[in-house]
Amino acid sequence: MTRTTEDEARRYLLGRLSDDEGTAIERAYFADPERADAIAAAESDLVDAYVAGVLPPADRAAFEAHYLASPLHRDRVETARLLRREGVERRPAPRRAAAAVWIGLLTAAGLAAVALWWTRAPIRPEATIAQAPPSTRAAETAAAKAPAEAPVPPKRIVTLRLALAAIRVRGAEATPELRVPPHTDEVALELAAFGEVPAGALSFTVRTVEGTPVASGRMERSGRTLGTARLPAGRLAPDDYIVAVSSADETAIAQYFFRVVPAR
Amino acid sequence: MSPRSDPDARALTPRAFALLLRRLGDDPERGGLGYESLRRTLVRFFDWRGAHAPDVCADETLDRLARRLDEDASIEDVRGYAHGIARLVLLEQWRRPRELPAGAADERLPAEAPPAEEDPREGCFERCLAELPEDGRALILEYYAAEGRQKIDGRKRLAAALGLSDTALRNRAQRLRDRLERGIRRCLDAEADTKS
Repeated sequence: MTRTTEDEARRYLLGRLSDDEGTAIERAYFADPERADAIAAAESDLVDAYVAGVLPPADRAAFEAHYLASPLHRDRVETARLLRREGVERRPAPRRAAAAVWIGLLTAAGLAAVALWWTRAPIRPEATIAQAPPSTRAAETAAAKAPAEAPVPPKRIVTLRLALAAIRVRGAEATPELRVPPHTDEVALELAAFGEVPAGALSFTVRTVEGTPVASGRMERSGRTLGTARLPAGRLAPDDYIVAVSSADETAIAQYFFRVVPAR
Repeated sequence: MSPRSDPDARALTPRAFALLLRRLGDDPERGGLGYESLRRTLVRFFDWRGAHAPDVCADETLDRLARRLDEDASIEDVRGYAHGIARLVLLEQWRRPRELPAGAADERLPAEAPPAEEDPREGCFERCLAELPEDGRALILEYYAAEGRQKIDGRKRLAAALGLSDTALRNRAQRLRDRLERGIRRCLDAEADTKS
């Protein structure tokens, strides 16, 4: 894939293309599945770059505002974090690798010294090999004690939690208010259960009270509550919101109401 | 309401489905491969466009495509037509209003917020990783082990060691990653069902 197309794939995934540009890309990959494979590869690279913390600031902002709006994409990022952690943990430790380099160099130096001595003096290789010069022993010790190169830690998602009770009559009780501090990545809404907790997967939708969709996804289930709805904090401008929960067959379960107030 | 629960949707007939397969391949085997390829493209489309259930939307799109092909034999670009239907399905999903439920019964509220529970994702990840074939597990961990400047060189060496092109290695690693993601999702859903 050419460099230009890689840029287009990234902009497509970050929601930065116009509708016409996006449609053109889609027509291309519908016609040629290999182009879809290439966009999938660009997506993996984008996710891995985000997890490694190396995305440029503008791309990072677009990634968090657009790509992470999808719960499936959030799942993908979490899998990438775990894969990265697993891969990093299984790499040879840099400390051992650095020591290996030192020992290799010292061995080469030692062999060169033996070869030079061999040409000039009677042969006594055992004594030469056993007595490494103090300077090399110090270098080995220093290499063994050299601090390991610290792996770049994956960025942590700052999560803000708000516990909500189901709506009785809007306005009859104090409205739960949420103030989202700066640098918050995610809001987790913990939804109280009432009556019997339904089994199976549940979905949630967050909309403004005017009906504008904000986010949707699968609830994270837990035994004592109805579950947790996670959404990017960037999507919650100061406004009034309704969270609607439904079962897998789209049966409405409950709704919750909260208000986002301006951060101080 | 998901596309598939629309009660007005007509059931897909075997004839319409067979016609779709014929339009996607010259023989039954190629037709089946063409169907899977188109379905995979549709799932990716809905995924990248942020749809709630990409696989459900993809199946709905394919059903509608099959019905249209049964009604109109003049459609030539089947994959292009599928794209058009998919855009419509996506718009319908985003525009469909949700009905608010009736007021809940008067229940006592919990006195305090429930304690944070251990994230089951890590356990699911470990289980799903262990379930991969040994060579696949080794490949995917090796593929994602390198970082920075070493990443490209490391992947080239891995491709050479496996006798694969860079693209083939990339596609194989991507399929393993997709399989891992699907397994983790199923595992998390099963954990949720167990706790509820």
